[in-house]
Amino acid sequence: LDDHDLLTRLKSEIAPDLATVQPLPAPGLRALWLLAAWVVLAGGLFMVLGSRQDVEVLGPWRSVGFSLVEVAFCLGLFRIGLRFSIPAMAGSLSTALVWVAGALLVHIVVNWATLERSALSPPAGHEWRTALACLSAITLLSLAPLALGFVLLSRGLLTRLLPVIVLTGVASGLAAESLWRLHCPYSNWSHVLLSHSGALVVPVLVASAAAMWVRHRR
Amino acid sequence: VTEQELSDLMAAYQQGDIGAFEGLYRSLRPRLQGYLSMLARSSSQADDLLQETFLQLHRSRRTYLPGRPVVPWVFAIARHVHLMDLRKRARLRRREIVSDDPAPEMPVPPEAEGLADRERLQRALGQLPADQIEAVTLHHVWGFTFQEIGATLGIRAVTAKVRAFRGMRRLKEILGAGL
Repeated sequence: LDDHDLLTRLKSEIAPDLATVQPLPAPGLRALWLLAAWVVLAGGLFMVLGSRQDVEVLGPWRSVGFSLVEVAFCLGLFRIGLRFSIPAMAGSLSTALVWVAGALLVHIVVNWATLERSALSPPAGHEWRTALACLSAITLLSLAPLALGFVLLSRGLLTRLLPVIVLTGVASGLAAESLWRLHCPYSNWSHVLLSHSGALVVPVLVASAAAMWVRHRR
Repeated sequence: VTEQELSDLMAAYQQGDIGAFEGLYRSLRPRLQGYLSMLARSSSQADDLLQETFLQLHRSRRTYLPGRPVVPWVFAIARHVHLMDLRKRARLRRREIVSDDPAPEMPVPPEAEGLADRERLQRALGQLPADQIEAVTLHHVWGFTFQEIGATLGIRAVTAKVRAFRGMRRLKEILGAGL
């Protein structure tokens, strides 16, 4: 095809779909959808389950403030993930890795600071069942930010799938964990490690499965 | 065409102006053709990729954020199209199929033009690792800043700089060794 032929062909292909499009808002602005979703979910959770029972022992900072710190990091992760869906705006892999490592560190520090501080423990003999219930609840909660992430990402162009999966998956898991710790009063290390930290992995796996499906469809 | 003019064309294109698309096509085609030829190492394949790049550009036009540089955005889309094509070929097990058309000439950095004749320069460029030749070409031939190369390739600016530097050094070594 010569220059003129190619241009003619391209014009005929794009002409039927030449509607006005609004440029996407900046990733930082779009990431605020996560905050909105988090506030709605936190409100709903509070109305249904109430606040955690040991809030007086922990104080407002450890019971609520730490969740806000975690969700702030989620916003950062979400923002970086959304940048990867804009051509020539994606950062490097090392930037993504630093953010993921930072988020995991925040999760560890926050849970370390509240470890074994609660007077409450899972009912004797039901530790595993309680852990599974919490893991399931956090996983279920993480589906909301994950779905939101997919919707936002689908409006862009995913040039690098792997970092996007990890960033969005970890952000969703951390957001869900920060929500659930507003309610869950158990702070013994086995419960925290299995249910709360373990729940960070599940959204990454779900996101990976979704990404493989998307890639296969391409 | 300046970056500002390209940015204005993109804004008009997002408003549905087909004339703006034509302007973008005329301004970007030569550079894109060269870039895709370099990536694909095949003229006919580069033609297909060029067409697909402009179609992908159309589908993704909402991802251009006003005020940002147009050229790195378009090159990042072209690179994505190339990588998708590679993946598709690998999946369809078409790797073995060797194209009959001769490999296209690679763009030569002006700094290297005087170092050897055309044929030796092409041979030397062909010996560079793919990541180095990409950085060398983007910087020394098309004038991308290292920041723009980093944005296009999804690497840090300093990494882009290192790749371009090593690529030029290696190119000079190869040419120097053969002198």
